[in-house]
Amino acid sequence: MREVAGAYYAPCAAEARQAKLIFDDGALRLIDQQGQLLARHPFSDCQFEDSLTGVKAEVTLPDGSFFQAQDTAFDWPKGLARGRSVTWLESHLLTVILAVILAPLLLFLAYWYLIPVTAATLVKITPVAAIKYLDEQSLTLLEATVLEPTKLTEQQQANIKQQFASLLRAADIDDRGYQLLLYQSDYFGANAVALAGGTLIITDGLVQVLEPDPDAMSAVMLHEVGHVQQQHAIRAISRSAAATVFLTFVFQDIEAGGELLIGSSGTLFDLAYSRDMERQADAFAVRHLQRLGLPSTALRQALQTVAPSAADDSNPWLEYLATHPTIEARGRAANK
Amino acid sequence: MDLQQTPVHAVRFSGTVNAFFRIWIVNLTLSILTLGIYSAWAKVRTNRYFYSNTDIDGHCFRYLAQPLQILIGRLIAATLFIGYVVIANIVPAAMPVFLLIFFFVAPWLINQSVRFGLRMTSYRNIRFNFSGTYLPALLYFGVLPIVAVVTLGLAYPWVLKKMDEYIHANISYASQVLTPRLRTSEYYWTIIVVVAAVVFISLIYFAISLLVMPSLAAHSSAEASVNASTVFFMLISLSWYLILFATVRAVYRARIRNHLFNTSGFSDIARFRSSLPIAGYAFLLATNALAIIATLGLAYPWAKIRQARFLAYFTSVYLASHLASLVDEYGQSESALAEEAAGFFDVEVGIG
Repeated sequence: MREVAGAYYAPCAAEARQAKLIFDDGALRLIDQQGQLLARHPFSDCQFEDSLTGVKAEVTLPDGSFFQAQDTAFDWPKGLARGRSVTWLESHLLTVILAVILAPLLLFLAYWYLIPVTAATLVKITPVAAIKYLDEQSLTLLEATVLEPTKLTEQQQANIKQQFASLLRAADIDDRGYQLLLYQSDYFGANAVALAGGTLIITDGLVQVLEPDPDAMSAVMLHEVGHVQQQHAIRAISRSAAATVFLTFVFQDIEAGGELLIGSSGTLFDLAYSRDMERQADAFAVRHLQRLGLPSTALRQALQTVAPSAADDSNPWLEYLATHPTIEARGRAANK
Repeated sequence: MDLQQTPVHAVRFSGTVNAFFRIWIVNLTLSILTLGIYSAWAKVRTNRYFYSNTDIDGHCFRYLAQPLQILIGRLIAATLFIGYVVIANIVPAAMPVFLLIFFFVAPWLINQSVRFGLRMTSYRNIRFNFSGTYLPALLYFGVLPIVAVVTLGLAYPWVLKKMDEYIHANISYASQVLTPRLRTSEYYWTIIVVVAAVVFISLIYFAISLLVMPSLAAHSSAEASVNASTVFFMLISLSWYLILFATVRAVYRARIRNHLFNTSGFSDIARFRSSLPIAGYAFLLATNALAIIATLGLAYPWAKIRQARFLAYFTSVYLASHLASLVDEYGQSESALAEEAAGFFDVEVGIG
């Protein structure tokens, strides 16, 4: 017969009474300091609170009263309360150290493998029409803000579009999913952008800069097509949403510094993905350049022509903040 | 209630970093392992730890929520959030409709979560309660913020005061309603102090940047100086953000919390006192944030325990000497029994 000392609270009690809880066979009995019986209930009628380290054990009785053990080290006998396994994990140093190691490891794994896989799966079930609609929205926004009607001649426009069409045909890529649009843009300068649904935007600046080297233009086109073929844009959105839901679920209320940490580490991962996607698009371009018998140095040529002034010895740490790998790294990869 | 005659009870917090760190890290790992499902149990354990280690007059608080209630609420909230993300990214044209619906649903959600939090809190075996209804919540949380925007922010402190007043005037314990006597002037002064602090700190940082950056550039070679100034600039920005954030939060929360506590009471049962020092609180928040970042999050339990101790230290309660009889009287009433029974609507919809 076990007994434990503690306090008994009647429903809406202002004072707690010193009491003893005695374990009878399948039932508990509460007696006060004078030995008077306060309550007797079978175990099944009572709710034993989950065990928790450092918190006094409690049991709530059917009439709304409860008993609280005095000794924080006391825990309900096996089978009565839940949470014992978690309490066991919390009270052993070894498992605590294991948890310290596992937590960041699991987070890293979740970020690097689980979330991208989830995102990729979500993307597979996204209807094509939705992605096309997304493109239309983005285009409308860009046209209203940073894109102006192209200043290229009709002939120049036709040439570029022709080049693109034959490139797709030669690379065995279905051209129905694509449209090439030309714009003038001060904001983008000499650049090419691929929207999620296959809309490619090439600026006048890029056309003019790469005029002497049509292979370089092909390389750029292939790079952008690579982004679309591998659904990079839509996967990025999906990933970001999945990550946010996951993180908010796992981390409930984090103090100010923690939010900054989560936010910035999330950003670092996003940038890592961004660089990864750029590398994948580069690889796609190089593969197809080789298949088409075009010089694989064309990509490097394009990169160097577009950014001749890029410093080669930039701070290695800053690379972690870049959306693209460094020009020299991309050039090296393209030359392999 | 004549305060001179009533005993003062300091709020005691007895939680330790050792115990809570273990609870936190194990529960965090389990939450990640279960992709967030376990987080409902983790929340209950965490709250139970903090509530049970907070006591007034020898009686501790109890957190009564059950993990399943919290899990259901989180799943509902997650669904809503996913819906929001889908609309935001795929069908942006539907966003205004979504926002409009949310505008009318939000007051209900706010009432629900406040009610849930209070009803799940019990002291001396009596639950707290919340009696806020939909229309006032719509007014204070929906309409008034619009008023604040329309007046270019001038009405903002007043709106904040009305929100706090609505919430606190609807809190009750043992059939006694909390009667806050808030002053709008307090809110205006607080916002003015906050703005002044922001300006002051920003000026200091601006001055530091102006003084240090050129000398950095002058003393090193061209390349190294670009790197040095970039790193320096990042560190400066980060610490500026942190200190600003901590100061704004400290000033606002300390002043308003003190004001709320000092002017609120459950008429016959209790009065409250809060004497948070602003500078001390700002220092606490800033060092907490720095510690969390420096330890990549591991210092979070330390920061939380530290803050709980700090808040408890500066909080005290005057309890009426005839508390026992009042509360016993309440306990016999029918409304008490109805309130003590947890209802279907004891659901908290939220992710956090």
